[in-house]
Amino acid sequence: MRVALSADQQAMREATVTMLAAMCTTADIRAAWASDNAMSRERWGRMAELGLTGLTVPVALGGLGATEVDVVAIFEETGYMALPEPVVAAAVVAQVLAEAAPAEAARRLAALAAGDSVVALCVGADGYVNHATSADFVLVIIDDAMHVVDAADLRAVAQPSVDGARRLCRIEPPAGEPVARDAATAARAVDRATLFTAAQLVGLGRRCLDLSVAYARERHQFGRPIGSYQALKHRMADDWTALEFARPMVWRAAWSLTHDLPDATLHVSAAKAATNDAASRAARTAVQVHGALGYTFACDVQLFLKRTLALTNEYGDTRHHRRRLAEVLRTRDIARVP
Amino acid sequence: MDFAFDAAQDAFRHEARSWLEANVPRPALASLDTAVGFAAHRAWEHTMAADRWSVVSWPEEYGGRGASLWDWLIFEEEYYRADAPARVGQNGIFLLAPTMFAFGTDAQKARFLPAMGRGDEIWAQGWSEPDAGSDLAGIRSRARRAAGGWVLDGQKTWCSRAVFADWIAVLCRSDPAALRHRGLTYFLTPLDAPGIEVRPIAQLDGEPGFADVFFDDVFVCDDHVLGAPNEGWSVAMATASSERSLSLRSPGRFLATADRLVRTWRDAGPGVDPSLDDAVVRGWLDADAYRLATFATVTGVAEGGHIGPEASANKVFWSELDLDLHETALALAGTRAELTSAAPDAVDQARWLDGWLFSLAGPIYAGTNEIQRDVIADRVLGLPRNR
Repeated sequence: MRVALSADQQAMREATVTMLAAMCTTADIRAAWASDNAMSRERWGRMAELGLTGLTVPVALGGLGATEVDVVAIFEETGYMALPEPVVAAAVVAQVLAEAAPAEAARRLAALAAGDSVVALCVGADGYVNHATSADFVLVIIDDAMHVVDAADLRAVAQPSVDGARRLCRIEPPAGEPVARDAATAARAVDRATLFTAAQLVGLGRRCLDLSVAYARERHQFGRPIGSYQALKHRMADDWTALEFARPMVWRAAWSLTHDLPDATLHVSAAKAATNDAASRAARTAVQVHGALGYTFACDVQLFLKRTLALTNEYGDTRHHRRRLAEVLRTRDIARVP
Repeated sequence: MDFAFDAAQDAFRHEARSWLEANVPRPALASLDTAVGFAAHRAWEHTMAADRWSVVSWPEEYGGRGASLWDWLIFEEEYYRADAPARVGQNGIFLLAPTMFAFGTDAQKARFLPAMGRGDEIWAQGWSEPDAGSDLAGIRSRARRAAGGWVLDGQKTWCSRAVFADWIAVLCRSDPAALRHRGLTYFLTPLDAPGIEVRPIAQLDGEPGFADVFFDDVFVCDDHVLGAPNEGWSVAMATASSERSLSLRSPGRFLATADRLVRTWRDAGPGVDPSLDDAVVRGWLDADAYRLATFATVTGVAEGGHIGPEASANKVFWSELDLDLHETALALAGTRAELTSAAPDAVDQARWLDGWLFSLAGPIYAGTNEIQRDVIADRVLGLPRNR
């Protein structure tokens, strides 16, 4: 039993933090909002140098060949930075193609790992797709069918998001033959996307809490820093607690997916429900602690608040995941791992 | 990351499970806060000690098995899974013992720990006073120097188990000139020493689970001072830290309660209000989360780290989880929620009722959750202090 990152995982996390702290400031995020594609190909290319665009691309195709366990801490940090680029989609699509569509994998994944290609992921016939029009190709999963569609062939209707660093579209279902049909791979893809999103939510929650703490130390009212008042400090203490108790749920789900355990999908639901709750409360605290400033567009809290709203609903909101768990728990025990 | 126990750990779990299945008393013992129940719980401690299960994490020379923290967590999971009796000696074995291992002399350890581990000497804790609760540094009970020892005067309150216990650990002001945290000393004394009077206090359930303890010229010899004189605050805080971190309430306790809640919910059949389905799942998940977070903490300790102020989050989390689990069970019971075990319709319900009353104490004892949240805010998050 060891519930901690390995030295390699820790090193990769730190390298990610160092790179993104320099390349994904809040000014950079605002620049993405203002840009056509809400992302930066230049940043994507730089991220590729560290391996971030090809985390799960097989080593033979130029990627890191990483497992879920290897990448969750990295996704936590991309969440902390509210990174605009579609790293979750890249990781999931690489796994799907490598497992179920080797020809497509051979054709496309090397470019993804090299940072020369950007990918988007669409789950369900009525799903919204982030970055569909800024990507080079889209993996569309409808039931057990997996389609690969070049961006040029997409028929997409823009559906603007409140988070300006997301470019959502509704796309028309692909007409051609799927590149693979496999219910297990399709289900695993959804689980992975959900898990990676949950990891990002832990990071988003941490970021919101950090903003709250920094402001509460600096802002004075009644002659004292507002962070000295229990009404605020207890709220922030509870945010911290919720995040610390959510993270191990994410790690356990990563372990279960990596080892293909029977109840892995339920562990993913547990992780998403916990991280949704923890990130949402931290985001709401951040607005409240900042007072009227927190209600302004100029305050950076909004960047993380809006991303949190988006990610808590993407791949299942809290009710969805807890209802899923309730339906199983009603009839049988769910494996605690270990 | 490795979410698996090794073969030796699995074997240890199996051994504990087999022993508990063969030995846990049935039917359940009477409340340990009654005279009859206290004696029965003490006898159970003797039974466990005879096969070296009472203090598995202690070194063998004091009656333990030298078990690792991992094995201790496993034992605790099995203990509560087996629905074994409450630990009547918990103030000693879980709270005082870690302090004694850290601060006690060899002679003190040899004198006190084996008897504590066997349940021959059950300990109470005398910290709180009428005017020193959350503000523990406001202690006013006094200790004055005498030949060969100290003489104690004052009043302690909310002393759990003190009505039937044998010994008490007491924090008193030994240097009247020193301010607050300085000038306190940690004393150990038998509760039948001349000058001690114990007045039971009925808890919410009506039983005398705690007491006022009055000290009137009570002599304590130098051998029964734990740690250095006037260093009692550091000694006490070491206990407080183990109290709110792992040892007092391990995850196994809440896993068992959560699993019992799931069974109660299943027995209630379909048609339960969906908000209660959600509450059951939340309780089950939070117990799971507490377990996983504890694994992360123990990993850190096993690799040489220390449990710091983060432990306050554990205390907040488990005490509010316990309350949530019981409130959900009572909500499932509807109008039966208030029925006591004397009611023909109560069935298993009364256990949830008793547990709920007890769970209300959780956010108060071992440092109120308000104090714990202050600790997290001040010492983990670095927010400005308010006192």
